[in-house]
Amino acid sequence: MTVEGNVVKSDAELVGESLFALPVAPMVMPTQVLERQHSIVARIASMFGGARVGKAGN
Amino acid sequence: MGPRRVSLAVTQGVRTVALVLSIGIGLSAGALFLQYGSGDGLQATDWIRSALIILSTFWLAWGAIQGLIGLGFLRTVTEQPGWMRGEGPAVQGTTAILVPVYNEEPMPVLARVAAMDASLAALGVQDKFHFAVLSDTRKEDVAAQEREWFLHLVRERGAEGRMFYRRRASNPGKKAGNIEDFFQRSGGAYDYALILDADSLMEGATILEMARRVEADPQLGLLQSLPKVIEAESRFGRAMQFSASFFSPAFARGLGVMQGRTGPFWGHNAMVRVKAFVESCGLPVLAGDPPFGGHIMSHDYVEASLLARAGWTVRLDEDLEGSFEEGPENIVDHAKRDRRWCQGNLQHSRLVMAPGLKPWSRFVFVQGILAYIAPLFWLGFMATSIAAILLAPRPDYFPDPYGQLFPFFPHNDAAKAIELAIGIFGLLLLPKLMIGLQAAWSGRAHGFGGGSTAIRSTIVELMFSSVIAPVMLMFQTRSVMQVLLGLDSGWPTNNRGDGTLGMQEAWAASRWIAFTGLIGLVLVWWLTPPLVAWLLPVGLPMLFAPQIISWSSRKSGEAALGAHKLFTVPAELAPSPVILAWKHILEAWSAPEPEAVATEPAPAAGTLVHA
Repeated sequence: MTVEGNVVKSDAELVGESLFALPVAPMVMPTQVLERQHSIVARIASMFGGARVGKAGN
Repeated sequence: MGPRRVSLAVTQGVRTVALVLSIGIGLSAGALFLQYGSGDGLQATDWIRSALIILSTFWLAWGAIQGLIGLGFLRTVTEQPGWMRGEGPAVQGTTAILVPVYNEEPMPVLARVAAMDASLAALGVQDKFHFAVLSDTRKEDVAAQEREWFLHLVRERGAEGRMFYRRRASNPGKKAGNIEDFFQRSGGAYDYALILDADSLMEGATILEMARRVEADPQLGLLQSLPKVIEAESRFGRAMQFSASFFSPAFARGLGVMQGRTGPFWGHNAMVRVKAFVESCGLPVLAGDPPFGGHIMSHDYVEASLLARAGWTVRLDEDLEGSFEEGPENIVDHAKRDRRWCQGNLQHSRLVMAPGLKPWSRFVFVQGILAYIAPLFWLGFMATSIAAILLAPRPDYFPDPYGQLFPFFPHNDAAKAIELAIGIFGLLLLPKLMIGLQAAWSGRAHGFGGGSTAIRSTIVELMFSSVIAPVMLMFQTRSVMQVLLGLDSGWPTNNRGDGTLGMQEAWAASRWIAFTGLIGLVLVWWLTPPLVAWLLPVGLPMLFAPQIISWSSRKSGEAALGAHKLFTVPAELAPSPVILAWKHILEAWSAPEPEAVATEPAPAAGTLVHA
């Protein structure tokens, strides 16, 4: 952690800058599945760069 | 509490009736057109045009029916409900009010926060509502101002521990990523979150009532309010403001009745249950490059559908007064915003078949796509009509050369075409006229300057929207073509503030429309002179697009007329207290002492942390 005047810098995590830091109360936000792996749409999309198939859970 | 709820059976019944009616009207229009086209025998172009008419008319009918259904279910509120005075049960849960910002001018944004906080404090509930300013600002000078004004805000409101500022080091996922980042780091500290835009402004009583309604219904995952546009000054802006205030409640009510538990999320001025949102709304990054791949742009529709998929109720309560936003002041800014929305909606084509979505959610995606491609149907219809005349076979007056004494003249079914045109205009005009008449009859027009002013505003709005429609159609067509060609719109900052455009700017933005209109009219006149008269309502506004854009971006100069001013809205006649408070704060903050703000030492707790 470094201090420059009023500015406190930390290398811990790339949160960014904050004033009156937000409460720390993390939650896991699982990535949702929005494209079927073998659907026609996913196959057509794959022709244009591939369709990513999300997995439930982070 | 809240608007009159309808049962699932009513929702399904209304949906079915609306869909059947819309399809019926579309098919009737197509059949009428075929009758018209059969005068000289049916050609391929007649079938194509008929199909285009069916699609376009279905879309118009769907919108019109939605408005009429809403009118049927709309309640005219004659007295202020108790919740608007803060009456109602106490709220147990804590709410985070999220204010995402992205390069906007900080002072007006944070003055809104101050006004909303003051409004909550007046009800004595400010401790239950925390503000989190979530900055994705990339311009360092703007970020520096954000910090200065934020410290000023916290000091003025005595809000240490209730107001927070965070600026992301980078901004993946744009607004959706910004909100998601908040939930992932701090979501566990809150029960509900009110998601705003930088230009959102809400009454404390409305925020409190939304928290009450979410708390009262454990299945409610998201509650959307119907924000009214405020602070418009230009002719275009005021027409939009009037439209949003006068017509939108009926259309929103219609939408609400048809959507049932699968309601909309418009990205702001909505409250979510944190648990529901976090569990259901983690958005994937779509493979491939934008515009169809990458981060999901119109994330709000997707989040609403994901909440519904997970079994949560998503609801629009259009009775929630005291919810405001600002709108674009000119057609060019509107088109820029529309370009972004167009890309986002067309990207939904990849999600229509997403697993497990409610059928209505899929239909909403299709509707969003149709909203942008429907203008192309009209354009296609016009192009095919020109082709039809060029390709039409020569009339054969003696089809039977041996047994015919007198010439055979093809039927002239122009009356059918006129009937069709009247029907289509009816679909466009009827809902708005009905809303105007209902307002005059029920007394709702009182807030819009009285019955005669409201009717006058309705008629002028209809004329104005008809004139600008071809210009909008061209901008929309360009947006769709750009998306289909794979061009990404990026994430431009919304222009907020005075949007007056001179002729030079308007010309630069729309000369391509004027040239297209000119070339189109000359071509039609040269190739098929009889069509010119039919195309003038479209061609002339295109030809004069720069003039229309510049003229409509200016102030109307009707201020002297007071309450009888065209496009008067309740927010002008009796501004909501939070609007007055915001203006008062803005005035005080604009007083010549910003240097003092910039040089005052920050309170210890307000230390800027780069984490």
